[in-house]
Amino acid sequence: MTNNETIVEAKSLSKFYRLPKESLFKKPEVIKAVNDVNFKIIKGKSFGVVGESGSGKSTLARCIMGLERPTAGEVKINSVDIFSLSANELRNMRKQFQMVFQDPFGSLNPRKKILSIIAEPLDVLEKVKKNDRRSRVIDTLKSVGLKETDIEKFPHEFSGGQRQRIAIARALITKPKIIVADEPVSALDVSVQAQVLNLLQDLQDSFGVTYILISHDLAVVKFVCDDVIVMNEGKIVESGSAKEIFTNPKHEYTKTLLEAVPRF
Amino acid sequence: MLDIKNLNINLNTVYGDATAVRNLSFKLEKGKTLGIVGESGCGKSLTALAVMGLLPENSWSTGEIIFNNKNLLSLNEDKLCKIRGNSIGMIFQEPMTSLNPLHTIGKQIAEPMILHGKVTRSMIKKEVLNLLDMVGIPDPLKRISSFPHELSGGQRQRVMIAMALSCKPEILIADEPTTALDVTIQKQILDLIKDLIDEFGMSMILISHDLGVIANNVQEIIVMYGGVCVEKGYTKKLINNISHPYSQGLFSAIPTLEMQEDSEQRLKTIPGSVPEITEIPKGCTFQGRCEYVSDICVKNSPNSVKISEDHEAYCFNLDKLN
Ligand SMILES: Nc1ncnc2c1ncn2[C@@H]1O[C@H](COP(=O)(O)OP(=O)(O)OP(=O)(O)O)[C@@H](O)[C@H]1O
Ligand SMILES: Nc1ncnc2c1ncn2[C@@H]1O[C@H](COP(=O)(O)OP(=O)(O)OP(=O)(O)O)[C@@H](O)[C@H]1O
Ligand SMILES: [Mg+2]
Ligand SMILES: [Mg+2]
Repeated sequence: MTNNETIVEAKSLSKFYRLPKESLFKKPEVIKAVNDVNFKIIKGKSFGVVGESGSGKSTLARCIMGLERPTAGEVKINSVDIFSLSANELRNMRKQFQMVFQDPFGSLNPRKKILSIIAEPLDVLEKVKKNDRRSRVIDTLKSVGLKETDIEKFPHEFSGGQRQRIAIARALITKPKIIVADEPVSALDVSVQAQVLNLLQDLQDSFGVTYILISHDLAVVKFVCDDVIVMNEGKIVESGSAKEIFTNPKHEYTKTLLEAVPRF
Repeated sequence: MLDIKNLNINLNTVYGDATAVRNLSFKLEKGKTLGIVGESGCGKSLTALAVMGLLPENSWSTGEIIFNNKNLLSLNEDKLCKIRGNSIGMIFQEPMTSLNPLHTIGKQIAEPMILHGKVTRSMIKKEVLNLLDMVGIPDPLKRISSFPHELSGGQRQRVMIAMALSCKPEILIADEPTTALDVTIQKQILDLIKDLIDEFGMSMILISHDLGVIANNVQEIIVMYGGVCVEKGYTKKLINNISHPYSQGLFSAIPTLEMQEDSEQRLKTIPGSVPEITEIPKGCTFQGRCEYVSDICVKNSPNSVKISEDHEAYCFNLDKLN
């Protein structure tokens, strides 16, 4: 169903942050979190972003999602520059994508039950009947290895990995076209992780979802992704097919990353 | 130094009372390291929180947690405060919820050291900068007055680590300390912890689902499932002879860099899912997902079976397995 059609494109994308000033009279320090980044993502494929902690991966994800305005450059989704859209148009555009945030607990409202947390994107984007709503939440919950009875609970009643799965379920429920997943499986033990990764692949096979997967786990990226970029200090230092990068890394930093993987 | 005897952690949930951790016993000696692995929701964090005296309000525990000859479960809050963060440090699983969004990271790292009188006021900034540097935060001087939301996920995790290490605790409890970190920084942090172990005889309980991290960093491993210990042993012995059916499933589900490139490939999973804590069955907790299950597994809880010296598993069917 895909013929190498570009779905997301970043053009000279940059995001700079100012640091708190040490003194009133000094010039503020600037962090170049994302610095002149270019790439294209092919529809229906998985795009991996790897790189050292602090290299700008989450910032990049927030810019692609339109959650943060870049300092310079463009993000195009289906050839439309999302930052040229009106607030309303952007909101419509956002329906097509969902994000799984890096910090699962921080992104779950502690006062809401799991049912309404997971149903939230449904409520915002689709008008569904109460019964359908409930059964769709339950189906999605089950697909990430949680249980029907969990819908009545609050976030604090779950373990770290269970919360992460709640966040994943919330992103999957509307069957979005693009999913940006920031470290989606890092808090999961391997057997649940395998379950979730297999689920992500199934969704891609059946609905042609495009993934942008941020992970520091190189084995996971290798398993899931077709194309990969490696970031270091806000810049892309290497890009190419996952196969190429993992079997024949060119950049020193990529090599160091591959060598540091713990094995037994 | 730390001796946990028959620890039970009970929770009051919407579906009634449940035992989330059952009859857990283990010892940790000075300068030694122990790893806890197991499926999401099996009780690892609750065990850690029990040692810290930080269990959630809807819970109660029985058994003993003996630390330097005192039972932590019977100490009052005042006494616990003196131990917490001072003699026992903890790296929490979720950095964002454990950091205060309203205070700068410098202030938060300084707090335990001031509270426990570890450094003088005049030395405090230097010490904080030193800690930030140790955990690999670039440009500590620029970063000391940043707020948590201005840091990346992995940087927040490193701030937590700096806080836990600041008082040079006798025991460090690290709950998924490096999950948000890329491999190079992960290695740097684990090496730093190793140095503290060698230098000050610190002991460590490392909780992780990353079996590579566990295997490379602890001397002894406990595998938990459904709130109980299912296998326990010295790292080398356990890894070379993984015995419990659950442990075997766990270790075969890991994706590796050596895996074949093949888009049709699927990762192995253990069929089914962990039982709800209110529905943990009598008998073996793994019975519902075990391919070797027999009548006795449903009736009785398995006792410890010695696999070799310093390696045991809790299973009735070990002879069928190999
Ligand atoms: N406050 C609470 N109220 C009710 N149930 C709880 C509470 N805290 C934890 N639980 C439940 O107790 C079980 C054990 O939780 P714990 O946090 O110890 O898991 P864990 O082994 O650390 O898992 P993970 O690897 O996902 O972090 C889980 O099933 C969880 O849902
Ligand atoms: N709101 C902000 N204000 C100031 N600096 C920020 C802000 N958000 C991010 N930064 C800085 O920008 C850089 C990139 O951060 P980002 O969160 O994108 O990293 P990351 O690659 O996702 O790292 P990690 O793997 O640790 O999550 C970091 O140095 C971070 O401290
Ligand atoms: Mg990040
Ligand atoms: Mg946990």
